[in-house]
Amino acid sequence: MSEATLRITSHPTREPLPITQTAQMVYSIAEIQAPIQPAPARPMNIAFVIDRSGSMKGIRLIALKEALRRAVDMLDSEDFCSIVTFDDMVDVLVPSQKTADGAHLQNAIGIIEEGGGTMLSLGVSMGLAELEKHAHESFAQRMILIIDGASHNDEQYCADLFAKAAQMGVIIDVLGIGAEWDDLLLLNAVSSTGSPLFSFIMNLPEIEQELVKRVVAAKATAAQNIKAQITCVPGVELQHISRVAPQLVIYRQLKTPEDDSQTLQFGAAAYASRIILLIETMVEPRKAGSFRLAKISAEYMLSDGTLGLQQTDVVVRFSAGVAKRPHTDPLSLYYIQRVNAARIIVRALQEKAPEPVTISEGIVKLFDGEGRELLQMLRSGSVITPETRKKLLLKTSALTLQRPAPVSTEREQADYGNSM
Amino acid sequence: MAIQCDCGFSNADGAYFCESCGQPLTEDSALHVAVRACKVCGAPNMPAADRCAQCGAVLPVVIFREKNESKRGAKSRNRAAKLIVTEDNSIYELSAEKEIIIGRTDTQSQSYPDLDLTLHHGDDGGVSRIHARIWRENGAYFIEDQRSTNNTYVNNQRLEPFHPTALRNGDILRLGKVELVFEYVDSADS
Repeated sequence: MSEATLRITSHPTREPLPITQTAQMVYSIAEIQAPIQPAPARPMNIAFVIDRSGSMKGIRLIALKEALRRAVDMLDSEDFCSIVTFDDMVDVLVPSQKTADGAHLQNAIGIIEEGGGTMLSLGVSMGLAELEKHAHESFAQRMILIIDGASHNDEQYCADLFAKAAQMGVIIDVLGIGAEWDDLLLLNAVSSTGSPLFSFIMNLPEIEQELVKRVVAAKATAAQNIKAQITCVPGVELQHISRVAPQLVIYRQLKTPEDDSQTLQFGAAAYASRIILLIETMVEPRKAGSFRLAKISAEYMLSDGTLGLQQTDVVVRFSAGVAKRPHTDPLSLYYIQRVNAARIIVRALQEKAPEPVTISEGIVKLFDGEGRELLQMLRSGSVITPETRKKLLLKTSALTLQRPAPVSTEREQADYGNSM
Repeated sequence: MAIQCDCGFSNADGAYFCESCGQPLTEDSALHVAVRACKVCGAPNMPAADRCAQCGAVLPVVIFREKNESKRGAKSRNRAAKLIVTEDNSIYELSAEKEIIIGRTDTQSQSYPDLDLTLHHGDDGGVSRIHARIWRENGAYFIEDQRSTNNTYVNNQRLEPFHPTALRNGDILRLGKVELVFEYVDSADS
C-alpha cells in the first residue's frame, strides 16, 4: 500500500463474544489513518461568509474586520477566495478569485457595514455558489462562517444547504460570536460536513486567533472529502456511529435504524492523524464461529487530486465457552463511556422544555469544576441559557480528550483544526 | 437478556453503561478507566503505549514511582495519604477509591466540596468554591486545579488549570492563601 493513502482498520472492543438467546450490543472501533508523509500544500478554495446583522455593530465588527484582514493575508496567491456578507439580504463583496490582489481584498473588508436581521441560508447559499465557481478535486474547500445571531424560519433550508456542502466536499467551519446564535442548527453544519466543532467566542480578541487556526488547518490538509460507508450484514442493526477522535462528534441518525447502511462525511485529515469511529450494533443471536458484522468503505481525495478507496470488514468471534464476560480494552471502554455520556447530555440539551434529567455521578466526574456546575443545572431542570448550552456542548465534545489541547505552535494549530 | 439499570431503564444485553443515565452496568465498566494522556494533543492512549497514536509524540514515562517500588510491590501501591492544614494541623484522610474536591461551601450556589476549607479561612483566603481535586491513579496521588480564581500551588509552583500534577510525600500545597501538606500515612518509612 502506498504511504500516500489512508489506511483503515477495525476491531471489536472485546472477543470472543458469548452466544446469547437474545440480541446483544456489539461495539467496534474503526480507525482511518492519514498518510504520514507530507505532500506539497494544495491550493485552497475558501469562502468567508460573514454575518453583518445589526448586532455586529461596534467593536464586534471592528474585531471581525481585523481578524479577516489577517486571515486573507495568510492566503497564497494561487488560493481562491470569496467574501460574502449577509443580514436579511446578501452581498458578494468579493467574488471568488485568486488572492494575488491583496489590496483589493483588504479594501473590500474595510467597507463592510452592519445592518438588518440574520438570514443564514442566504449567506450559506451564496457562499456555496462562490465555491462552486472554482471547485476542483485537488483544492482544499472551506467555508468559514462567522455569525452572531440566530436565523429564523429557514432552518430546514439551512440543513439542506449543509447537506449540499457535504456532497460538494466543502467543510463548514463555524465561528459563533456571543451566545445568541443557533448552536444546535450549526452543530448540524459542522457534523455533516466533517468540520471540527464550532468556536464559541465570548472574548473578541479570540476571533482572530480562531480564524487563523482554521486557515492554518485548511492549509495542512492531507486528505479531504473523507466519506465512510458502514454497511451491516442481515441480522445486524446499526444503532449509532460516533467519531471519538480527534474530537467527539455524535452524528445525527441520517436514516432509520432499520437501514443497514449509513454514509458519513468526515471532512479532512491532517498528516499522520487518525479518525477513530465507535460503531454500535445490535446483533441477533449467532452460533459459535467468526462472522462479518459490517463492511466499512472509506472514500477520500488525496492532496494531488487522486481518489482513494479503502475497505475493511468488522469481524467478530462468538464462542459457547465464554462463562465470564471477556475483558474489554481500556481505551475502547473509555470511548464507550464518553460517547454514552455525550449522547445523554446532547439529548437533554435538545429538549424544548427544561425538566430534571437523571445523569449518573460517573458522568459528572468526567467533567471539570465548571462542567460539573453546568451539569448540575441540567440535572435540576433549571432553564439552560444559550451560553450554558454552548459551553456544555463544547465541554462534551472534549470528553474524549484527556485535557484540552494546548494551541501554541503552528504545527499544533494545524493538528487541532484540520484533523477534526 | 435485558440489563435493568437502577434508574429503571432497560438496556440491551452487552451494554456497558445505562443508555438513559450513564450508570455503569458491568464489572469492568464500573472500574476507573485508566488511559495515558498525550501532553501535546490531549488524546487518550492505551496504558502501555509509549507514543501517542494520534500525533506521534513521545508519552511521558510513568510520572510517579515509589522509592524501591519493585521491592515493596503492592504494599506501597496501597498506601493511604492525608492532607494537613498548616495553620491548625487539622488532618484529612484522602480516600484511595474516591476523588475529592477541595473548595469552600456556598449554600447559595449549592456548592458542597468534599474537603471544605471554609473553617480554615478559605473564604477570606481566596479559596474558590470548587478549587482543586485530588485522586489516586496507579498508586500515585494527583492534584488538578479547577480553574480557581486564586490558583493552586505545589511547592510554590503554580499549576495550570486542569493539568494533573503528581504529588510526592511532603509536598506543600497552597490553595489561595490556605496551605496544606501532603503526606503518606506511613511516611515514616518512605
